[in-house]
Amino acid sequence: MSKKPQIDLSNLFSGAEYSQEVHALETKITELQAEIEQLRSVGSQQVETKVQELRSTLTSGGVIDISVEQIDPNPDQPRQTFSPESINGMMVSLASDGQQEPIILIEQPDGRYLLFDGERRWRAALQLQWGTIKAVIIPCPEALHRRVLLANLHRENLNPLDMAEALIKEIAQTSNLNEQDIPRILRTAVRRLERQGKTNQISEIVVVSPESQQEVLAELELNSSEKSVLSVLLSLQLNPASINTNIFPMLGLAADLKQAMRTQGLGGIQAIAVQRCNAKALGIKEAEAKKVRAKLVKRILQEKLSVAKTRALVSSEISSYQKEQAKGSTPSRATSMIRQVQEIAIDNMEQQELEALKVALASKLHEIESMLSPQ
Amino acid sequence: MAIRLALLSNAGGSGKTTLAVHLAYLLGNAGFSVALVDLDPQGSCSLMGGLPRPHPDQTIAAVLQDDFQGNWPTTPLWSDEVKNVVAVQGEMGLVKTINELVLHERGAYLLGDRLSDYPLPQDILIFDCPATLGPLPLIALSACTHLLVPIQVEPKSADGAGKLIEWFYHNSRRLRLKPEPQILGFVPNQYDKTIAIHRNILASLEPQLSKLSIHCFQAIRFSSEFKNASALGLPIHLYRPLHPACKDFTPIVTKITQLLKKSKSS
Ligand SMILES: Nc1ncnc2c1ncn2[C@@H]1O[C@H](COP(=O)(O)OP(=O)(O)O)[C@@H](O)[C@H]1O
Ligand SMILES: [Mg+2]
Repeated sequence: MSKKPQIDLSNLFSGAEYSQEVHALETKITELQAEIEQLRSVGSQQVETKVQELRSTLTSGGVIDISVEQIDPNPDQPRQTFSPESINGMMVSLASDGQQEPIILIEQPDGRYLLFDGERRWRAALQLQWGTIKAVIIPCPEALHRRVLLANLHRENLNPLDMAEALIKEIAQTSNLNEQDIPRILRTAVRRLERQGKTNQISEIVVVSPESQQEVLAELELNSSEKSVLSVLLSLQLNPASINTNIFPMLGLAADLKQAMRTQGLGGIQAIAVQRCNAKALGIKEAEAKKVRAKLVKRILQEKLSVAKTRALVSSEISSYQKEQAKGSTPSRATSMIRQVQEIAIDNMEQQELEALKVALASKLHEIESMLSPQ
Repeated sequence: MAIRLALLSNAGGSGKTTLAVHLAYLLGNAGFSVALVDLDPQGSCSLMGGLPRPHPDQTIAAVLQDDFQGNWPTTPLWSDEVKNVVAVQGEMGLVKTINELVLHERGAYLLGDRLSDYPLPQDILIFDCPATLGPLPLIALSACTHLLVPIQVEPKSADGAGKLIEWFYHNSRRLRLKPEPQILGFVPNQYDKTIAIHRNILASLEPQLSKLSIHCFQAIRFSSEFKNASALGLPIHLYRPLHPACKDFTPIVTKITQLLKKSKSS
């Protein structure tokens, strides 16, 4: 008895769950921020407890070292004046005990930070000529969106199809390119870089700072669309060449295979292998090809076939159909001729020789065509 | 403020229009005044509500024009049966609106702007949206107080539902909607309990939604009478009043009625 396919929706909702979490966190942060500002404006003593609460909420996003140069005092906050003694006191404390608690910063879209809490520590750090200071960050909405995306992209169970779609959406949003054009733009760029032997230069900058990424990109011969596609991918710490070979091809999968990936957990590489079983390759109608694929998918999942075994299974399926078609004919003579033609080494041939070969092949082709054309 | 309910889903054929039309009728029948606002260029509310095609300048597209002066183009629905239900019809002109919305400086907020400049008097407004999550669903999102999401019990729709939730949070944040619209719940539709995959999906959908604290309403069953009724421009309640599917809407109507009573008393 064959087992019914089990439906598992959890994969379909993990992104939703994550964005809800981020959303709840952001709401809480915004509320605390407003409360603190309100308490400050009336000079209430309770400010410190709320600041503490905000700090611990933000700590879940990580305490990071921020360059003191990247921080600006907050123009929306009442100017605090600090006596030289109080700054001195803080300098002594920082120098002897280190920084006990992170300051709170608001991230700006331009990459700089506004002070929300900890001006005295920041000023003391400046005077101590510290390069960086420990901080927790109130993210700007753009950064939050990025964070959702990043967390989603690096989620373990994210399937390559969802990843492809998320990336396309992100690139389209930041670059104004049409969604359908993006895979082709990337393909063209990657192929050219490969021809020029420059793919290494790209893979080397996947994890460097955005500025250095931009510098390298500027030196490659890329048009502006190509540049925007590559820089979005790089800013997400993804290697464009591998997205091109492993991720974007998922977008071209047949609908039935996409669905099998999403709801039955068919692997991406397996799906690409099964995709070869299309109507044309099998010489049958698309509806039938779909049935063939469904049968293969079922077997792959039930027997948990490896990629290699999947490929072998697909190849044998295809060749069994092709044998079916070719029954009666003896292809052996053609096969060896085809091989000879395919193996002609043209890499080192002179222009003249190439021209001559082209003429010869063209005239043979012409002969073949007229033999084949029904008259 | 009136309740403004947007019907959204990330898939065609999930039952947005069907649900919108039926709720309009049922709430009207319960004594509330209702405006059904059709934001879909296909204008299927007109079809399902038995209205002739609207004149192009008597549609929601005209409301969204810059020269709109408050004369909402409303047309009574099922006026022999209910007295207080009207439609603001949609039609192809909305396709042009989509392009204009993208360029308009208040694009994403335009419907909300119109409603605060020229409020509609009804107790509840129901926005029927097109399937693609583009500019029109966005103006519904920014103008609504509540969201209802019909979903077909098929794997593809479940996938769309997850994406819709992400879209919802992303845009609530991006558009800084305050107060934020509430997701009233998901409504499984075209449910056939004799089909294993339907049972299967419904059973795994409920816990997923509950993890997100999203309510899942009782499913609306599949019945071909829905198509027959809509061909005549009627809700199933007027076409086959005794049909068992009529009762499937009760929990949703009860929930909305509670909200309406609460908002009236406050
Ligand atoms: N519960 C149901 N049972 C049977 N058919 C239904 C049901 N709900 C909707 N339909 C039919 O499905 C089709 C799509 O529904 P519709 O409400 O137009 O979806 P949407 O507005 O989401 O595109 C319509 O023909 C409608 O009559
Ligand atoms: Mg519709």
